[in-house]
Amino acid sequence: MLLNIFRTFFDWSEVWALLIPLAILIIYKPKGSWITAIKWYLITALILGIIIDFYWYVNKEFWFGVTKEKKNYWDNNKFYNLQSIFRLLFFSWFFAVQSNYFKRITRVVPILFLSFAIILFVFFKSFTILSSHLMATEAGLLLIYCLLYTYRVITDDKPLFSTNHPPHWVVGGLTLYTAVNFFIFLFYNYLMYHSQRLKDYAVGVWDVHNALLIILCISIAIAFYYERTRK
Amino acid sequence: MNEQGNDIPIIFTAIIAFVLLLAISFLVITFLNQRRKWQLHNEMGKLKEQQQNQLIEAAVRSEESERHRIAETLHDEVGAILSSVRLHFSNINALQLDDKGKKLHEKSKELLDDGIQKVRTISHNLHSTLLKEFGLNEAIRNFLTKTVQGTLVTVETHLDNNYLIENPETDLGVYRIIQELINNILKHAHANFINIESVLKKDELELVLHFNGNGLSQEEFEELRFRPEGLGLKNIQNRMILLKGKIFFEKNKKDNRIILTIPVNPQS
Repeated sequence: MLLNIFRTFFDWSEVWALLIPLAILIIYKPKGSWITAIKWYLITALILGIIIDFYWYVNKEFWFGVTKEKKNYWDNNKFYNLQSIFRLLFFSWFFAVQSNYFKRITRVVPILFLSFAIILFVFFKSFTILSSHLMATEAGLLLIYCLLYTYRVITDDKPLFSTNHPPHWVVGGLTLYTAVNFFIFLFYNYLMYHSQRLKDYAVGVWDVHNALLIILCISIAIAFYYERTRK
Repeated sequence: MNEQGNDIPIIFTAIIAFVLLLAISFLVITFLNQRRKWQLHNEMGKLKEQQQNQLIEAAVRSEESERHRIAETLHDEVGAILSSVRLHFSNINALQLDDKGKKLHEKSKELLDDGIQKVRTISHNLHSTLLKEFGLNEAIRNFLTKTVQGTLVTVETHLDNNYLIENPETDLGVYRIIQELINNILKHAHANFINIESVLKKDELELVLHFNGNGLSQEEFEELRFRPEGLGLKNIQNRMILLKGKIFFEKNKKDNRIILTIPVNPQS
């Protein structure tokens, strides 16, 4: 019983985890040029997260008269694709406001990524299926942003500590999230459609994604908190 | 194929665990690098500050020794010559002079006395023996009385008599700051009322200068002390750095304030 409650709680983490930084944002009202980008990412991710988990719940349980035949309509994969696109766009915005160093790359990368997404879904894959190619590319690009950012921080003469430069927290959380999820996203399609055993494994692996999303949200919340106390 | 399929979850879990570990290590190394850089930056800042303080101290010391030398020369040489002139002058028999000569003799004597007095005052201002002998409070009182003598400025002093700590360095620093501030008040603020209060707290001396006229706000002070013509204010700031004290300017219509907080060590 307790395990079931915990299971449900964890399954819905794609929704409630996003509420943590949003709550800090509402309570402390931090001000900073990078806040807007993250704020919009959180709002978009929350809306899509609610839809994703709602679809998943309907698909899982018989609910409000939805028959088993109609359950196939309640497929949430397309929203994961959408979430991936929005995540890259908003985090590109986030890195763009960090310094001029990112200005050029953050202009080029979103355009290339959107072009890649259009070509992928028009000619090769269906938008209604979670795309490993799209999500792995997105995670890889975000990871490159994070590595470039860290390289700049390390080579900069001026020391930037996490408390006096809150975006470090966001980048730290995002590095963990993208580094691990790159592999999860990359092999997700393969695991899902290879065999039932691997499909069950893939569903279990998604918990790692959820755990890393919680870490990312907590690191964003910490960044918001320090941004508010920063002078 | 099946055997290969059985291994996939294990390999995949291992990859995820390895990447997670790698990412965590990367973040930890970055954090440690930043911390080390931060420590070095702080150490460098401290060394820079120390070097700056040493330079200020050297400048203040050389200024003090130069003042001392000028004061000694004025007092012992110029003062002695003037006193000798005065002695020779008084030997002139004025009775033998005509009216015009008598008037000129009297006027010259007056000017000579005035000159001797001025040399003494300048000499004492440059190097206050009173400060050494009677302490800070007495030196401030004496300086104020002499400075406003013959002017329309009213001066009040409410100095804490509990301040008996004899620290020549601190006392001289505070005295010079007060001198500079009073000169500035008389020159720029056009004040006709000055009040100096001092309170000895646990381990700091608080001095408050109240005056009317054109005061100075903290922002104006910060701006002026970086201008080439703001040498006096720069000196005040340098001496405050050496004393590890704080200075705060408050501008009001009728009651301007300058608050000095200087740490004092009762053991020294």
